[in-house]
Amino acid sequence: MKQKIDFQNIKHKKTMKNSDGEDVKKTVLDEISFTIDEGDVFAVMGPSGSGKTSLLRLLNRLEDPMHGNILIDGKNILQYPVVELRRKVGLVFQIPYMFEGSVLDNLLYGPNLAGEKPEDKKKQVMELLPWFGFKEDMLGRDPDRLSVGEKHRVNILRTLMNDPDVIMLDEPTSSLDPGSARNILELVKDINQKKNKTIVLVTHIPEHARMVSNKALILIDGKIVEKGTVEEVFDNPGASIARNFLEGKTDIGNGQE
Amino acid sequence: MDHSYIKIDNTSLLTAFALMAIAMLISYIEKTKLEKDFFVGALRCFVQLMIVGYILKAIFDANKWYWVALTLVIMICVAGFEAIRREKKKGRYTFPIFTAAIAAGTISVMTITMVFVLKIESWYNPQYIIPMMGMLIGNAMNGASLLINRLHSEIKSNRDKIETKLSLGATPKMAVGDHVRESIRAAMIPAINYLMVIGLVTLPGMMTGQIIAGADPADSVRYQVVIMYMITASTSITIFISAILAYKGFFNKNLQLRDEML
Repeated sequence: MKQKIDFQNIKHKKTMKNSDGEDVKKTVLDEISFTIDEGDVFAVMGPSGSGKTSLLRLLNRLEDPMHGNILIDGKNILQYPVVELRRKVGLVFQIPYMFEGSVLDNLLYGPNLAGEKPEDKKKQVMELLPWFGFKEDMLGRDPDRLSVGEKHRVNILRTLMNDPDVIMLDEPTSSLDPGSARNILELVKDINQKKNKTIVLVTHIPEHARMVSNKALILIDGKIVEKGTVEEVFDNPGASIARNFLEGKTDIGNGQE
Repeated sequence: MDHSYIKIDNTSLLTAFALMAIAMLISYIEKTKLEKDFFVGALRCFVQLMIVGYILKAIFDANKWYWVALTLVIMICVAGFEAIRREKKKGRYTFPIFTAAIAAGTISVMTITMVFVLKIESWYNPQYIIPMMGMLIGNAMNGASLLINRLHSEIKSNRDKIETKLSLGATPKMAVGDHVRESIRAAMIPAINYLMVIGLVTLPGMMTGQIIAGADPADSVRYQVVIMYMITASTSITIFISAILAYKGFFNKNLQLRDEML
C-alpha cells in the first residue's frame, strides 16, 4: 500500500436518539470528496458534531458509508481484507481506552494479534520510548494510573506499533493543557517526517491544525465548506462560515468544547 | 410409587385459596393496588397447573415416545422464547441460538444421567424425563437469560474499548473476549450460590415433594444431589454455548459492531 486516499461523494447517516428517545437517521456526512496524498499531514477541522470522527471511522472501516467510495491507491477499500486495512490505516481514538495488563501489554496488543515476535517488537518499543518522552519504567506501569497526557501518548504509540502507513488521530489534543498539547503536536510532526507516515489529524482547534498540517479542510454540519493547502484555507477562506469558524466564533454547530 | 400421602380435594384447595385472601387483604389495607394482580395471579397459577396436571396425566397414561418428545420440544421452545423475551434488540438468530443452547445443555446432561446414573431402559418413561427435564430447562433458561442480558450490557457499555481493539486489527472474538468471559461468569454465579446454600437456606422443591409423597428422606436427598449436579452442568453448557454463539450476532460480516443490536 502507498497512501493516496480518495474520498468520493461520501454520504453517510447515523442512527441517533431524538429528544423522545426514538432512533432517527441523521445525515452526518453529505457529498464529501477530497484527496489525501502520501506524506500529507491532513487536518480535518470543524466544530463538534460536524462529522469529523465519522470520516475517520469510515476509513478504518468501523462503519461503511451509505453512498460513495473511498479509494486507497485507486482501489476501493471494500476490496482490502478488513483486518489488514485497519492495521494499515491506524486510528487513534479521542478517548485513550487502556486494555488489561501493563503499558507494555497495551503497546504489544496489535503486534501480538498479528503473531509478531514480542522480543523484536519490544526492542522497537525501547527505541521509540524517548521520542514519546517516556523512560523504561513506563513499560511496567498500570495504564489506568497514567496521566491523561501520558495515556494519549501511549495510545498513539500503541497504534504506531502496528506499523501503519497512515495514522489518523481524533482530537489528540482536546483534553490537554497547552504544554501537553504542544508535545503531542511535536510528536505528530516527528511521526510524519521521521517515520514517513501520512497523518490525518482531526481537531476543532484551528491553531493546532495550522501548527502541523500542510493541507486542511473545514467540515460544518457534514459538508466541506473549505479545503486546500493550509495557506489557502487559513489565509483566504472563501466561505464566510469558514471564516467564522477559524476566528473562533462559536455560533456554528455546537461550538467548541 | 407409594401412595401414603394425603390427597388434596377441591374443598381443601378452596380453603388454601383463603391464604391468597390474606395477601390481598394486606395489599388492600396498604393501598398497594396489587389486589387485582394477586387475584389474577392466583387464578392463573390454579388454571395453568390444573391444565398441566391433566396433560401430564394423559401423557403418563399414553406412555408413547412421541408424546414425550413433543412435550419436551414445546418446553424447550417456550424456554428459548422466554429467555430472550426481555431483550429489546434481537437479531434473526437470537431465538434459534438460545433455544439450541438450552436444548443442547439439557438433553446432553439428561442423556448422560439416564444412561449412566439412573440406568433407565426406556428413555421416554415420562415419570423421570419430564419432571427432570422441566427442572433442567427452567434453570438453563434462567442462565441463558442472565447471559444475554449481561452480554448485551457489557458490549454496549464497552463499545469504544471494543472498537479500539477492532481498529488495531482484532477479530470480534478477540475484541469481546473479556466481555464474553465476564458475562459467562455473571450468569453462572447464581447456580454456584444455590449449590452452596442448598439444604441450609433453601429446601429444594423436588426433595420436599418426594418426602411428602412418602419417599425415604435419605433417598430423596440422593435424588436431589443428582439433580443439582445435573442442573449445574446443563446450565453451564447452555450458558457457554449461548455465549460463544450470541456474541457473533453483535457484529456484521465486515467485523463491525451492529448499531441496531446495541
